Amino acid sequence: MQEPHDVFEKYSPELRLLLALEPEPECRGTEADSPRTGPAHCLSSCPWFFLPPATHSRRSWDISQRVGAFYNTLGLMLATRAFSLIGKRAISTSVCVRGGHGVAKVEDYTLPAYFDRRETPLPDIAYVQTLTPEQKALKEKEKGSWAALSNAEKVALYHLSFKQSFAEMNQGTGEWKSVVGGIMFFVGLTGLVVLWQRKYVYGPVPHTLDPEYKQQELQRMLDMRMNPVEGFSAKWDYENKQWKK
Amino acid sequence: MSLAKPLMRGLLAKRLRFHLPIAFGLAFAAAVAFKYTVTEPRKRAYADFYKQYDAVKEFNAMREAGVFQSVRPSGE
Repeated sequence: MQEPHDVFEKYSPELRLLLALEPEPECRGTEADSPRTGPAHCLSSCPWFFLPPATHSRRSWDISQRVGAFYNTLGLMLATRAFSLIGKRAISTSVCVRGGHGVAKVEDYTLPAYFDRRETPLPDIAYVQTLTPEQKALKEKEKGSWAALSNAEKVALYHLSFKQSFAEMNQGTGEWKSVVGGIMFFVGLTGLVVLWQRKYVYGPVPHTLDPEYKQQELQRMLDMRMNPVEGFSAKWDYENKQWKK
Repeated sequence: MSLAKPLMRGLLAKRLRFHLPIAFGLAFAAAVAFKYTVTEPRKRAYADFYKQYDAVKEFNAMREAGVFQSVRPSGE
């Protein structure tokens, strides 16, 4: 009878205490034989700390207290007996039900999903979950020597576990052509918008961009001898007052 | 369906052994090219410019053009 206690190791000490009321093998066996005896029969084999004091000490209590304590223990024992009849695992869910809430519905997206990805080659689940009889037979054959499998069978086994081969999953899609086309289209559209803006939105440019003003600027730059070695003024012929040929 | 076992180790070392000398060579070549197409001509140009440079003549020409604030053209 050790099994139930291991399963619920991780649960609360209270639950473990509750499960301590699991009837011993002899107790359960005799219960089936003689239902008349019922819980009272197991009273003697219960852990002493769950019994009312009167049963294990010589202290004399008021009769009503003794009866009350007895029925308390009895009720608890009956409850756990009922739980143990449901089954070991059900106890955990029944415990949840006792709190007033049920077990949450399992959503599809919370379960492990299949995926084809180069970086993580082994998905959480196999591709084909429900096998036809032929596929089951193939799986049985797989348990034997793999040299006995034909190449076609090996490929079939592969496709039971995986959807696409690496070659298939790695092949390019040609999506880049749409992307480049989209880029060029939107850049062109933006160009049109900018042209419209230049014509209808912006005001006039400053007077410093007038041709006469620019000429005066140019003359001043040459007068100052700007970049006379390799740059601007180096290209001006000061003797002949013209650009060098 | 039996392929040769692929190379499992030393992939980075193999790549570096091939690419690193090339990288260093190209960088060195770029530096040399820059030196002899840009810096040497520039040094020569400056040397030639200042060989025939008369500072006073240039100053007077600039003064007459009226670009200075400390000295006005000689006419005024």
